[in-house]
Amino acid sequence: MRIKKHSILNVFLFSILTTGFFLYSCEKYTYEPPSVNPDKVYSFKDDILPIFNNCAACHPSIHEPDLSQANAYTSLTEGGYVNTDAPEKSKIIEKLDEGHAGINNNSPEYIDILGWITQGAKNN
Amino acid sequence: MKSLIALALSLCLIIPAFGQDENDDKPVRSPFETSLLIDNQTVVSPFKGGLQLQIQHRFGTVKNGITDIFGIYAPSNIRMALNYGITDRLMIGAGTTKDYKLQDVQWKYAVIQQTRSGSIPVSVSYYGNMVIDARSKDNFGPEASYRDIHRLSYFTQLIIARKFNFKYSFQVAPGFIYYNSVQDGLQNANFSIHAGGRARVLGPISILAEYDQLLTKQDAFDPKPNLAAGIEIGTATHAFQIFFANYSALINQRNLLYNTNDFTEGDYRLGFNITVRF
Repeated sequence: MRIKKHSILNVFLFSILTTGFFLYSCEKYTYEPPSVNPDKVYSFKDDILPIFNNCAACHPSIHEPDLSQANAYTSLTEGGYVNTDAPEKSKIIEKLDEGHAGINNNSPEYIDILGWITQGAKNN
Repeated sequence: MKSLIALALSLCLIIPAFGQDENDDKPVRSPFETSLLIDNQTVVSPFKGGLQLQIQHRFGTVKNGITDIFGIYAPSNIRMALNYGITDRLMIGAGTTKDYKLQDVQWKYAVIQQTRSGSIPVSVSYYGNMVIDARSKDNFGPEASYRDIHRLSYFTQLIIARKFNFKYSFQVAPGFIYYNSVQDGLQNANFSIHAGGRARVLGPISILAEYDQLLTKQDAFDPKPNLAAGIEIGTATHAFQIFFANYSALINQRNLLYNTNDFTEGDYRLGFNITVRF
């Protein structure tokens, strides 16, 4: 096997540089997964509707429910997508549990929707 | 008798020497068509001065059947990236991914290149990336302890590949993942393994397959491995890959640590990669 000396030198320098960079920019940090804040009042208008701004391209033109600003509340509550007795079993929550459109069960958007359903899914 | 053995040994040494020419010590031609193998890197990089545009797309899960045409109408993920060959061995690149707003820079260095003569039997490349999660601050735990550095994650991989002949190439790649910030129950530092290969079947058409697995155990949940297969069509300036895979995040570390699509339950997604060479 013939490996050129300058290749070895390049790899060595490259490794030193990248290792140095990693050591400078690394940190070991863990945090508790986000959860519903019982002291917060979750507002449909202020907390939930803005989340659906990114969803209206597909809902309802391709999929149910209709998440347009005008129809989202009716579509969710009358279409069987929220379950205020068992919020975590709501259809919308189970969909987000799988990971959907960049939202999963660690996302603040998920917690807001879960908090809103937990507090009775009001049109507030 | 001794002289006959000596003659035979001499011929064994001399004949291969006649069989070799300068070309035999050149690197083997394209062990893989492009620098991507479904959800992983290969040992291949752009040539010096070469620019690559990559478009990676993953549709939704096929489980909903005809309702959303097997995921084609479901929410999809996309990554667009540019790679540039600084030398024949060193590549740098940058990309952006829709889901989780991931922005990445990446680099790859061909440490060893398999030669046509077989004097070097394998190719070895070092691949690394740094990813910035550009979502809002409240995705990284309590605001009081937030630091910008919590957005960063890294992936490094040593890719060992062999082109067995014109038809078959195979690679295996141990990897290391580091997340600066994770939720409780997940590890910051993780190890992974990848194996994959290509078989040319008809002219420019090849069959691709790969398997990826996170090796480090997590307490919070069990990240699922990826088992993917598809076909590739290569032309002089383009490479098209179309396949079914479990991974959808398009970024190695995000796939390995967070994947919930289980191939034993049929959580497959249709995906394609397009590479354009300039």
